[in-house]
Amino acid sequence: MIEHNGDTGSTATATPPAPRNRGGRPRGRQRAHVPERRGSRRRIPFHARLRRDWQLLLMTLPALVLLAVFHYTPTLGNIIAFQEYNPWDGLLGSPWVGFAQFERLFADPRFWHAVGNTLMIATIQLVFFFPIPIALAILLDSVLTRKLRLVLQSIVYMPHFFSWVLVVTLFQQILGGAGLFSQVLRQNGYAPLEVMSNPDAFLFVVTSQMIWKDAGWGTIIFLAALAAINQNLYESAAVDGAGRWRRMWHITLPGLRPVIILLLILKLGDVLNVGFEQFYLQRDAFGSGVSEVLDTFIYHQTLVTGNFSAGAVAGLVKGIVGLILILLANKLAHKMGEHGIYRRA
Amino acid sequence: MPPIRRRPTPNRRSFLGLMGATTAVAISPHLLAGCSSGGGGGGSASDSGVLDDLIPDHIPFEGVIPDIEGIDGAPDGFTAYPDPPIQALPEPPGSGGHYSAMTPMWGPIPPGLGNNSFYDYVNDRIGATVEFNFQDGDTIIDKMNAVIAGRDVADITMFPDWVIGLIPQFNRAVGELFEDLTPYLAGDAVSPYPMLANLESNAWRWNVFNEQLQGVPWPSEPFSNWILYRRDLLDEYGLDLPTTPDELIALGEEVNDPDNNRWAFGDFTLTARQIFGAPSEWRYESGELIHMFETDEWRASVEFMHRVYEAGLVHPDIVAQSGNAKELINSGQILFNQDGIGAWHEAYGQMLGDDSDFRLDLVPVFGADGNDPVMHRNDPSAQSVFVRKGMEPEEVEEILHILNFCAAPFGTREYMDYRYGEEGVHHELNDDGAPELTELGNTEVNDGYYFLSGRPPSVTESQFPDFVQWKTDWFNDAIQYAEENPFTGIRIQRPERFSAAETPMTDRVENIIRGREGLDTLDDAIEDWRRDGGDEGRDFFLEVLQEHGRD
Repeated sequence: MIEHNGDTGSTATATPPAPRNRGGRPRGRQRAHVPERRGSRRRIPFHARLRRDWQLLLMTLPALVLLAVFHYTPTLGNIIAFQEYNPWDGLLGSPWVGFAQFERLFADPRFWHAVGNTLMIATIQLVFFFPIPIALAILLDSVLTRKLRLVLQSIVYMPHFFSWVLVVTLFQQILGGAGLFSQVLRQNGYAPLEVMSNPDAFLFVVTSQMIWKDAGWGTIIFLAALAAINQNLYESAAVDGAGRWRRMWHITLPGLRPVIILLLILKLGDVLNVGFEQFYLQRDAFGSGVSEVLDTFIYHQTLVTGNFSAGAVAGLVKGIVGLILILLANKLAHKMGEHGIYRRA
Repeated sequence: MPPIRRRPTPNRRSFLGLMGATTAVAISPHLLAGCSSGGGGGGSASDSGVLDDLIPDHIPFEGVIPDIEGIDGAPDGFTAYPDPPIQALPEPPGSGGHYSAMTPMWGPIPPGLGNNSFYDYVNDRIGATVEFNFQDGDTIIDKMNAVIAGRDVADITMFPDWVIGLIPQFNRAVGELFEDLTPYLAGDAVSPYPMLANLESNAWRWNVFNEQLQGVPWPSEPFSNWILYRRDLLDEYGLDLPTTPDELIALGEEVNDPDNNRWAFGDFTLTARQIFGAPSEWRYESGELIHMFETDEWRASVEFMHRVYEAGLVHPDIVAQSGNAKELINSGQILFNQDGIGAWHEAYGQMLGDDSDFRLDLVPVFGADGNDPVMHRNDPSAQSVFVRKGMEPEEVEEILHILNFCAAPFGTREYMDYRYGEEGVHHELNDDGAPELTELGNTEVNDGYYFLSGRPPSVTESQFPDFVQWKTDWFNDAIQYAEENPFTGIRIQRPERFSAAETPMTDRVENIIRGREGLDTLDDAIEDWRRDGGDEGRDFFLEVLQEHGRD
C-alpha cells in the first residue's frame, strides 16, 4: 500500500507498459486511453501470462483457499436471513419468509437504539482514538536511542495481547468502586470514584480502555510509513531553516497521508463493528441503555433466544452498510487524489 | 451437581457458558413451535396428569438408611460413608456390548478408553464397554445444536435440561433421534431396573415428550438458589441472623466497612423475590394468570433491592458485574451472597484446606411483612439421558441396564465404583471411610458415568464439618414454604414473543435496582413487557392450563 516504487509518475505518460512490467500497471490521468491499453494487454495470450505469473498465482492460492473456506462458504449461510431458520430442518428445509425478518428488525426500537449507540461509540473512537496512534508513532519515531525506542515500543504494544476480560478487570481493579484509587480516596476521607458503573462515564471509560489496549498496536503501520520517508528531505528542510514543527507539518504528515487515508477508509467500513466483548462484559455495569451495540444486540437476538434468522438479518444489514461506507470513502479518497484501498483502474 | 452448577451466577470468564446460565434463570427457548398444541409462533406443552401411564412405577430402593431424613422431597443426609457399602446389583448387568456415550464435561478431558484404567475397571464392573465422547460444557449448546442438526447422536446422549430448552425444534428432534423408552420402562416394565424405579415420578414426568417417555432423568434438589453467608465471620461479630428484610439491611449496615475492604452483600435479587413471596413465574388466582412482574410482592422485592444498592451495601465489583462473587465471599470481602446451593461444598473443597475455621451456611428462610416466603422450586429433572433410535431391543435393554447401574444411590458399591473407581488404585478410604482420590484417580476418574443417569438427591459430603447437618436442616425447613406452581410437571416451550420480551424487561429492572432509572419507571417497563409479548404469553399459558384441566 505504501507507494514508493520509482515508476510513480512515469506511467502517467501514455507509454504502453513493457511486457515484463508486473507491478506498474498503468493508471493516472489518461482515462480516455484505458480501454485501448486494456486491449493491448489482452493480446498477450493466456498461456503466456500463465507461464509468466504462475509462481505468483501459486503464492496466492493458500489465501484464496482460506477465503473460500472460511469466508465465502459461510457467507452463503446468509440465506437464513430470508427464512424462519431452525437447525433441525436445516438450510434446505426451513420455511422461506422473504423479507419478513427484515421488516421485523427495522420495526424493533431496540435495533435502532443499538445502531444509535454503535454510531455514537464509533464517532467517539474516530475523533478521540484514531489520531492517537499517529501522534504516538511520531513521538516514538523521534526517540533517538534505538534501545530505548524498542523498549518503549514493546511496552505500548503489550496491552494489545491482553484479552478484554483482563482489560476490563484491570480497569475495575484500578478505577472501580473497590479499586486502588477509590480505596486511597476513601482512606483519606474523600468520596470514592464512581466511573465504572456510571452510565454517563461510559464513553469515557470504553475509549480509555481502547486507547490503553490498542493505541500502541496501531502505531506499527505508521512507524513503517515513517521509516519510508526520505531522510534527505528533513536535512534539506533543516538547511533551509525549517524548524521542528514545520518539518513535521510539511514532510512527516504529508508522508503519512496515504496511510492515514487508507486506515481511515478501513475504519469507516468498520464503523458498525465497534466490538463485542468489551461491551458485553460491561453491559450490566453500565446498563444496556448505553452499552447495547449492534453486536451485543445480535448476540441477544440470536444465541440467547435461538432465533438465528434474526441475528443473520442484523449481521447482513451491518455488512451491507459497511460495504457501502467503504465504497463511498474510497471514492472520496480518489477524489482527493489518493489511492484508497485499491487503485482506480 | 455438575450438570446444573453453571446455572445460578453468571461468570465473566466464560460467556458462552453464561449464555446457558442467564437463559436458564431468566429467558427461555422459542421457535419450538409447529409441533404440538401451541401452533404457529407459539410454544407447546407436555402434560403430566394424563401421562402417568407412561412413567415407571416408583419403587423406592431399600438401601442405606439416611442419618437425617429429608421431608417431603428434601434431600436425605448421610453423615458417614457406610462400611462396607451395599451391593445393589447382584452381578454385572451388561452382556458385553460396546456403546458410545456423549456427555458434557466441565474441566479437563481425561485420558480416553484404552489409556484409562478407571474406564477399564468400571466397564468391567458393568459388563459392557462405554466409550465416552466428552463435549466442553461451556460451549455445549453450540455442540448440541450441531449434533441435532447433523442427526449425529451417540448411542447414549446426555442433555442438561437448560440445553433442551434452548434447542429449537427439540420436541420434533427427540422423537426422530431417540428411542421411545415407554415400552421398556412404563409401569411395572421398570422392574428389571430397580435403581431406575427408585427415581421419583415428577422427574420421570419431565422426560415425557410428545406422549412418549424419552429420557432418563436426574432428579434435582428442590431449590437452587439462596443466600450463603460467612458463618465464621458473622459469629465473630456476635450478630443474630435476620428474620425480616429490614433486619437484613440493618445487619448489612452493621457489617459494611468499605474502609477495610469489606462489604455486606453480593447480589441477591432472586432470593429477594422469594422472601417477598413473588411467584416463580405465574400465579393462578380466580380464573386469571398473574405474572411475577405484575405482583405487588415482586415490586416490593425490586424496591428492596433498590434500597440495598442505594445504601452502598453491595460490593462495587458486583455492582460493576466484573467481580467474582465466589472469590469475594471466600476471601471475606463480602459476607452474604446469593449463589447456587452447590457453591457451598465447592467453596469448602477449596477453602477448608487452608483455613480450617472457614464456615459457610445458608441464611434460614424468612418472609416479609409477617408472611411466609415462597420458595421457588427447581424443575424436577436437571438432565436427560437419551438412547439412540434404531437399535435392537436387546441393545436398548443393555443400555438401560448400564443406566440402571449408574443410578445406584449413595451408599452402594456401584456408586463408589462409578464415582471413585477401584479402592486402593483410584481412591483410598480415609479414617472416616470417605474416599480420597489417588494421584492416578485424579488423572483418570471423571464424571462420565455419573452423568449417565440420575439418583435421588442426597447430602453426602460428610468430610466437611457440620455440612450435612446444616444443609439438610435448611432444606427440611425451607421445603414447607415450597411454591404451589399451577404448572408443576408440565414441560412448556414458551411462545417466541413471550421469551423475547424478557431481556429488555430484565435489563430495565437491573437499571432500576442499580439506580440508573427511577422506581417510577417500573410501571412503564411492565406495560412495555405486556405489550411486547407478556399478554401473548398469558393467553398461551392460560390455554395450557385449560388443556390440562387445571383451571
